[in-house]
Amino acid sequence: MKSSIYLLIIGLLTLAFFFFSPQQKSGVGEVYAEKDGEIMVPQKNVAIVTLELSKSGLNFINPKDILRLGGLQKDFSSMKNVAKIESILNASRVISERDDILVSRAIPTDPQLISESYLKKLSQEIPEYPELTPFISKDLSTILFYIYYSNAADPREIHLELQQLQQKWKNDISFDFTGQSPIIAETELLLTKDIALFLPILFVMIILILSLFRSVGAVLSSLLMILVSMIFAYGFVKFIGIQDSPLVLLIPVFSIGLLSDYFIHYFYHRFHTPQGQLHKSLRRVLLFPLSLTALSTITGFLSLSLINGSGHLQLGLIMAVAVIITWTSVFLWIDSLKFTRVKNNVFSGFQKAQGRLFVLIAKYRILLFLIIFCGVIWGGSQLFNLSIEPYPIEQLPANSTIKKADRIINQDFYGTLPFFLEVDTGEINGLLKKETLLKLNDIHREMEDNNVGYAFSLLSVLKRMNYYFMGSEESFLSSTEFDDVYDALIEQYLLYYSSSVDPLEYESLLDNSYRYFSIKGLMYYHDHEDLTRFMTLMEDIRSNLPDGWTLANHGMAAQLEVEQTHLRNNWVLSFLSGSLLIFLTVLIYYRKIGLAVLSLLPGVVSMIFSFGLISISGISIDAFSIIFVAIISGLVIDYSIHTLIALDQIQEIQSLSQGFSKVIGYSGIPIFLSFITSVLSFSVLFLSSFSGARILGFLLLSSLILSFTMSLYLIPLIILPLRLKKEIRNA
Amino acid sequence: MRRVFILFLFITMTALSVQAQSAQEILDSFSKSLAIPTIQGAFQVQLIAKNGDTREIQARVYQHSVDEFQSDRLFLFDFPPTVRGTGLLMNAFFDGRDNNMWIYLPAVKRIKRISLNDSGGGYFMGSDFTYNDLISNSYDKLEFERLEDKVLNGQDCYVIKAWGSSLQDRQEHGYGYTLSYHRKDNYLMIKREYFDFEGQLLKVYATGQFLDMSPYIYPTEISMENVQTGHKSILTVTDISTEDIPQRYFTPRFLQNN
Repeated sequence: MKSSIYLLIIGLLTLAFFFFSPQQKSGVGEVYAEKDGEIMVPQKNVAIVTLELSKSGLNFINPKDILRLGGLQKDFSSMKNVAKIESILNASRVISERDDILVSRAIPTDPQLISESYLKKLSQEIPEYPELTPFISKDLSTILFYIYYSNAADPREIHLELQQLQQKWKNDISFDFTGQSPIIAETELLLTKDIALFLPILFVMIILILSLFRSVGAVLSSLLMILVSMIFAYGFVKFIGIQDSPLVLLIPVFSIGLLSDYFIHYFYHRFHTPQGQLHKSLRRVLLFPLSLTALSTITGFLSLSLINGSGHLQLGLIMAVAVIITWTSVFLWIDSLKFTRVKNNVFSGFQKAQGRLFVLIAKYRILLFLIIFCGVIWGGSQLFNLSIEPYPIEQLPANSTIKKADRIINQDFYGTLPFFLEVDTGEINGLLKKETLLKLNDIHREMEDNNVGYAFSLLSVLKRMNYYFMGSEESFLSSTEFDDVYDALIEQYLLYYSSSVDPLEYESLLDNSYRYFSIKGLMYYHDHEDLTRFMTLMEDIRSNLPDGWTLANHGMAAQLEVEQTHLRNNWVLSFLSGSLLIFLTVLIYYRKIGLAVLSLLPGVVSMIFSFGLISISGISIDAFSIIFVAIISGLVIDYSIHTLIALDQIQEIQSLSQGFSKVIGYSGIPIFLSFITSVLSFSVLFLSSFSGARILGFLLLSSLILSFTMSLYLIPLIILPLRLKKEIRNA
Repeated sequence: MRRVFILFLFITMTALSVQAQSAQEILDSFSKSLAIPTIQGAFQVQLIAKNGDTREIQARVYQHSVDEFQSDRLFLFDFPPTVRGTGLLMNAFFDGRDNNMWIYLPAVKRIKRISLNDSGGGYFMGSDFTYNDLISNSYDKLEFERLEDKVLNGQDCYVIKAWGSSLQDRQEHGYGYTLSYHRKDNYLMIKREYFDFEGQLLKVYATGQFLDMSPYIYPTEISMENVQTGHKSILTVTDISTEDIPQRYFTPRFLQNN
């Protein structure tokens, strides 16, 4: 009866979570990229299309080709939720002639006016107009289309429609595309394809493993509870308003790999532990190890939320909640069910074989200890060589449209990663001074010297205004003609400029009190070293700022820097918190400090080994690969605790072989089954078309083998010989 | 019984006559009510950022309707002091010709002519009002539909939905569609809602005060709030006068010599 009430409560809560979830707002619907700082950072939902003209047999000075490109642009405009398209086809250039400022289309709207001679002349003039250079490369070989969508447009729809257009035009014009929405959608798409492949394999596999207990009830109840836990946890996280991210697609793999562990341990002890060995009720016997496993897994996954990006909070919370539900289900529901007990011991052969293997290992244990010691030294020395890659774009396949487009933008244009710097001059109207603008000019020069990419600020605007009115950009700073009315000059230029831009765009340049201004732009991004180079330059600029000035970094580059720091620190925090937990629990339970220290050994050794492997494999720590720390922290503690419990259960031993057989008989088999389940679950990640998932699979697998070996063999290898010696001495 | 029948007939006829007003007729009536031949006043625009920071611009405004196809406006800026003497002259044409703008900056003592249509509609002095919001009464590229009448702030209103005839017109218009609320008694537009391309509310235009100069109406306080960004602009006109304005005011030379 009580068990039915438990299920009913879980069911009702799950329904409530889904029915009363707040309406999810798409992340790209936000108009401000972030709300820190004094100047707002506008965020436009944009996709960028790159088109290499020669690859499609096109030439910029051929009028017919321009008309063909017009057809493509029309198709871009027709996509759902497109608010605006910008390209060389509709870009305007500002011509300053005598008393007129003429704003005219670079390519006329009337096709009759687009002649070869006109296009030739235009192609020679393009470098004179900075407003045209974002749309066409210097050698006229590549053009870009900027497609602006309404802010709440769905990334998946954007990606799908662009893909459909790629297909439609593939025989005529070939193009690639990138942008924040396409990157999100592409990652999701790759992982979704994987899930369709993974899920059936995972279910078959878990059914096979659980079938070893020869109980249909055990298989069905375990599968049901894994599903219920997953759905409940997802509903809960949705209910508290956390948005979906691509990482959510990894949940089924993790759930089956980790949650099955609780059922394997439970059913093994329920069906196969000889009744005589159980001095207490099964619930009391399993409460300590399974609770500790649950606690360490929860700690590991919750620590993922400290990365604060790329869906780690969602992933961490879902897995933590799913573990809690599974843990309570084992004790509040599964334990109350009636199962037919299987009499025969199905694992006796395995038990004996393990005993013999252990004797062999024990014989050469000094050699093994030496290998482990050398491995730890080697792994430790590699720790400082780890590279941290916070930008997931590198994990997409090299032939993906996004990678191709990014490569072109980095080569022929100004880079792909937006940055937004906010400078505080420390005084109201500080921007109306010539000294301020001279300093700003120095900053621009420093960024140009360091080949950052493209930087734009209030100074860029004012220089251009000066060009329109005075015929020169540079005289704005070099001439002394207006020094007496410099503040009026600046403000009058700004008054004119404010008429031609969106108010939000204007206010992203400077604040209303003229104290703060921004420097924004794009930086070249090939890998994390570009980010490091940029951040070092920022530090240099900061150290040369006038007294009272400050510089803050916002926007996407800043977010990546924060994520990089979190990635660097998170694994330490995650691992340390898990280790502390196990140390304290073992200490409290056994009251032996030596045993508590010993329990940490498998985790520490396997973690250091893993980082050595990561380093020599050339793998970067990124949003995906970092997840392995949380999983391994949970699993290694699980294996260690069960091994320690098994050792504690042994009353007396006559030989190493017999002692180890008892360990295997009590905990080794469920540990082994759990290990096999996890290995198989995480192996499906190798089938992924997404390299982030494949790397995660590699790390999980190598760490899992290390954790299993260290926990199941190393701990008994240290304890059993000592106990045997002690018992012989006492006898 | 006969009285009841006559009353019913009267109500029905009145309702039918009101219903018979098409969206185009309502908009034409609204345009006519705004077509004041000559008007001048003190003009103030407050630009309010999401964090509450406010910037204020003050100017004198002179407006003159040349004919049904042309309206001229002159702004002479007074505040902040650093922009005093800056002048802006606009010729708005309603017959398809490009609008013109002349700007004079006293700091550089130069006057420049700028073509308005090619500058993308533009925003009026950094406010949330586009030039089209303020000066355009051309509806050529829009389609209209009269929706069910509504009561807004105690006023019976016609509700008109407007959207670009073609996708390109819609993108040039800048919005997915708009909903305008016109008072039934004087056709004044007291509210307009602008929706983005996904149907989300983007901006809200609202008329606060207005001056009734029958048959003309002049809104003296209007606001435009971008609900997605939180940015707001409030435009106020005071000291209104309909006295004649010399024609020389609407010349580029006047900008420079003022």
